[in-house]
Amino acid sequence: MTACPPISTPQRPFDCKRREARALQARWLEQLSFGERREEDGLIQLWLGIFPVSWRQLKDVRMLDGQIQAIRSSLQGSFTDLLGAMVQDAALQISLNGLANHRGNPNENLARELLELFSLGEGNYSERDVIESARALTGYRMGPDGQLFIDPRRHDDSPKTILGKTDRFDGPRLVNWLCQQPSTAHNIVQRLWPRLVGSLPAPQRLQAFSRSWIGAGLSLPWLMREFRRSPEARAGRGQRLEDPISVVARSLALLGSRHPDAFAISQQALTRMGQEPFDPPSVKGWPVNEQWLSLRWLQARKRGLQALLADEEVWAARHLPPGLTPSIVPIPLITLELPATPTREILGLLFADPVWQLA
Amino acid sequence: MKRRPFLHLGAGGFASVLAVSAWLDALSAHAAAPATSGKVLVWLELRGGNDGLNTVIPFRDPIYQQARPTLALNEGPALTRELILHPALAPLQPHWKARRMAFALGVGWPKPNRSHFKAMDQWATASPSGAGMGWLANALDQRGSSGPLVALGPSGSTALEGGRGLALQIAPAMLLDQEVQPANPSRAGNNRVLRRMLEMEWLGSQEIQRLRRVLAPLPSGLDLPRGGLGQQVALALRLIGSGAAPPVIQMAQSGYDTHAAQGTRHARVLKELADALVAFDRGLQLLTRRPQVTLLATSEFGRRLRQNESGGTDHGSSSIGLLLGDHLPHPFLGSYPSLSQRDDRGDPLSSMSPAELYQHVLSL
Repeated sequence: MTACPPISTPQRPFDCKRREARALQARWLEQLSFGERREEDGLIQLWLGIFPVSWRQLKDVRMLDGQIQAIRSSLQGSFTDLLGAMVQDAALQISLNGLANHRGNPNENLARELLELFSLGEGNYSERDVIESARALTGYRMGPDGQLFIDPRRHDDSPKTILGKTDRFDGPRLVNWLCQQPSTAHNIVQRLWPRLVGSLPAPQRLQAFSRSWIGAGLSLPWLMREFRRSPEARAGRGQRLEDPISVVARSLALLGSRHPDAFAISQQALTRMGQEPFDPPSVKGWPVNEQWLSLRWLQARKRGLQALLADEEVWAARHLPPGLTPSIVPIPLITLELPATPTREILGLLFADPVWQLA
Repeated sequence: MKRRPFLHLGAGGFASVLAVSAWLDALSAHAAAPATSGKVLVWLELRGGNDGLNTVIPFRDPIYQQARPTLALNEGPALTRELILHPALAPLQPHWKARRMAFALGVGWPKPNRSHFKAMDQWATASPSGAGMGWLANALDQRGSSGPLVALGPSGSTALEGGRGLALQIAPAMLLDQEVQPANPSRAGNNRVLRRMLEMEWLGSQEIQRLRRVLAPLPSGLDLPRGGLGQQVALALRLIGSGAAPPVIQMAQSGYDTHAAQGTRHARVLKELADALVAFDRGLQLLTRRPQVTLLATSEFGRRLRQNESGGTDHGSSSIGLLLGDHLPHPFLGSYPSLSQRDDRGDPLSSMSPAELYQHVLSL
């Protein structure tokens, strides 16, 4: 393996970056499958689908560690905290050309996605609001430590009018103002619901849920708890198609094999399943629930899990539970009755069962 | 019209089923016509790292004998004055003499990677980086062929993926066992997502059943080895004789990772391989209407020159490729690596890269 030049080197080989991305992906998969903070990391993975950044867009893939850290430190706070952290996150800024947003030459990419996807939702703002928000977000630059700061010479400090309010908006003030809009709570609930509960409920129910969240100060712990406790979540058990990453992490955890091949096979399989970690297809993130239904992806899911099971070295490193209890699946399996002893054959059936893909 | 690539269909699951349909319709339409045009390339992956030094054996070389105190072989069917075949491959010798078989010598990457996984990626993509389009998918794209590429090996192959051609993984059981049925969509009850999943798989299976109807009957009198490889060979022959043979068929045999007790284990997998290839060639002779066929068997790497303390060999460098087919002008490709010139780990240097071997095979 040839040594890679420092990140700052111009024309650095793409292979170097790819290798670093692969290492990050393997580490992340291991954390999601075996880490002590699995549940928290699962939530971070969820938010990485809301604030999607591809490693391909970054010169230094370690910035994704920074994004993970920024999400982690906001999880006990409010959505306002999280959105504030994301707007000031180097990875997200770079992925949306935020650093090219100059008072003399505004770049609206970040502002538009901020309004459309990360806060208000489509139809709840005007083109004027986009232009003014872009002005508010001018002037971010990256310091030598990789942290963002505002360069006063590039930042537009004059008053802007956004959603009817005139102020000397900058990033934090804009985020605060956006998070005071009921449509932000509504849009975020609407985006998370299919990821955590399933099919969207009636509009009135969504409205009521969002209003309660506003009442709870957009608290993220409140939001997660209430999603989990909702009657829809309980009634909808086993009726949501899980993300490939979650299915793979769940399969690895059950297999208990931390052999490097297990992660290498999983990474390759995830790419074919349509969910390479840290490589979302667009700023909207990955498909959700039924959007994953395609024969190609379904076959890739089954094939990938069988490949994991077929690898001798992965199998030799297994740590299986003594028995498979019915509680490992949300609804009864189709081809296999639980409880069962986890032999290789039984695991083959379990991993091939359509219900294993559900949550 | 360009065929929609099966592999790149995002949301429309049913659309991908339709793409399969289109191919199967073509199959049915052609089933009656004699099909002798087109060529079929069969790629057989020998998984685990086949010990090339004990496949085509430089038995007179003292370096070989010294490096392998208990594993060195001294007798076997002769290929040249210097080289013999592993005794388990004896059934192949007549095919080689009849110019229906050839051996590629010293095949491997200049800087061998000893991870199975990485090496398989390199072979699948014909590139040392292991990234990019599968080599077979790429070859079909170059020819302007839309496939399909059919994988019969148990876990498919990335070599077939990433191109414009339709890549299908078909387990022999899907075509041969009447019993294998996906769950009836009605099993989903009121679960909408599950129902849609089952419907998708159900439709796919309907198409497989149609495919089953156009398959040629298996020529009688074949002595197929029991086990997975024999089943794959049988299905490959039936596809080749179907009247609309897929241009690419992939097969796989595992068991070559002989870190311990290599003597018996290697002989066992090689015997299964020889029996399968003999049956395959016999089948080709018996199929009356079929296109030209070339089979290439390769392995991700060879084993170390020096045997280990467990009566086995560890991951090494170059290995042997086997070719079988209708048009093999050369009994050997490349040259046998010198055992006195070795890499920094003490293993023979490769004399031909996988990419060069592929180029040659594609030109046949």
